[in-house]
Amino acid sequence: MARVRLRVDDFNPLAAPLFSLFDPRSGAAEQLPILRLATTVLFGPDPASRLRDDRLEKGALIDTGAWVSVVKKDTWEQLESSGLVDHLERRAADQSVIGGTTSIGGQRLPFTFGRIWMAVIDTGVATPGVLPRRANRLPAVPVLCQLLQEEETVLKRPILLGLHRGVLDGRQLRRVPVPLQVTPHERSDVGPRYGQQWWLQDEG
Amino acid sequence: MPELLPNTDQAYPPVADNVPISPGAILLGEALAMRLNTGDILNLRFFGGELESYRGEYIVAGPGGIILGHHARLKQAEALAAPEAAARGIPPGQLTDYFVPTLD
Repeated sequence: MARVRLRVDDFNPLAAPLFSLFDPRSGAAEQLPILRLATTVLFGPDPASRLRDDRLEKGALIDTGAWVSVVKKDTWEQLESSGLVDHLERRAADQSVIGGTTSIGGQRLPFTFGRIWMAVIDTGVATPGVLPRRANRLPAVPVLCQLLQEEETVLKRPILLGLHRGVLDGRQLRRVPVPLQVTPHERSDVGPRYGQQWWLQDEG
Repeated sequence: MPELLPNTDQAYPPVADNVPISPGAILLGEALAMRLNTGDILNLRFFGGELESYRGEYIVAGPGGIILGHHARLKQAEALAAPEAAARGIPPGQLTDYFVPTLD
């Protein structure tokens, strides 16, 4: 069964924590992490299995609250220049092409639809200076994407992987509770620090 | 100091921190391996609070995480990085672009 481990990133900056909670009755205090589920995707259909994979890569977040995937303008334009974006038309009942807007972080942003092949990978615990030689990879699938038409800085990563018509289809997203642990490379996946590991795997 | 919220996940067996290779594992090309390593380095620096001055910008970096250009627009960041990379003998295929997210 092919599977990849997802990373848990903490977006609460060490230098200037955003959320510190204090309970005045008990004296308990805590700096809240801002956890997000992250991964790396490769673009385009999978190469033949005997070939080394050398496709373009980007960081992505998994957001099951997003109904489809979303791609930043700069990013899909870069992918488009490599022929990796199939544009799709949204049509009204009379077959006229219509646009749309989506709400991200309180901003309404115009978008068009596109289809981009993506494969999710993981290379294990990051070790600076040590090149990964192998990666776990789930087969590439066509991902329906909202291609943002304006520049914005709301998205935390260039790609938001949504709930439907994408890398989650036909797969299991698993959260595995684990004992709390702090590892030397904990910042490459802080999940165990907060008692969790996440996996995305093919069924079967 | 007392805990603010109890953790309810502690009664489970440990899972190895390293990632076992699954049946879908692949061999990485050299350039992709270098870019992934650069991305990991930038991630570690970002989560360590070292990239705060680049919030909302794209960084274009070479092997080892050396920052060659940065700008709010990816194309401009690439344009700024290209001559720096050429001067250092870094091929374009080894350059990594990394978006430094804004704060919530």
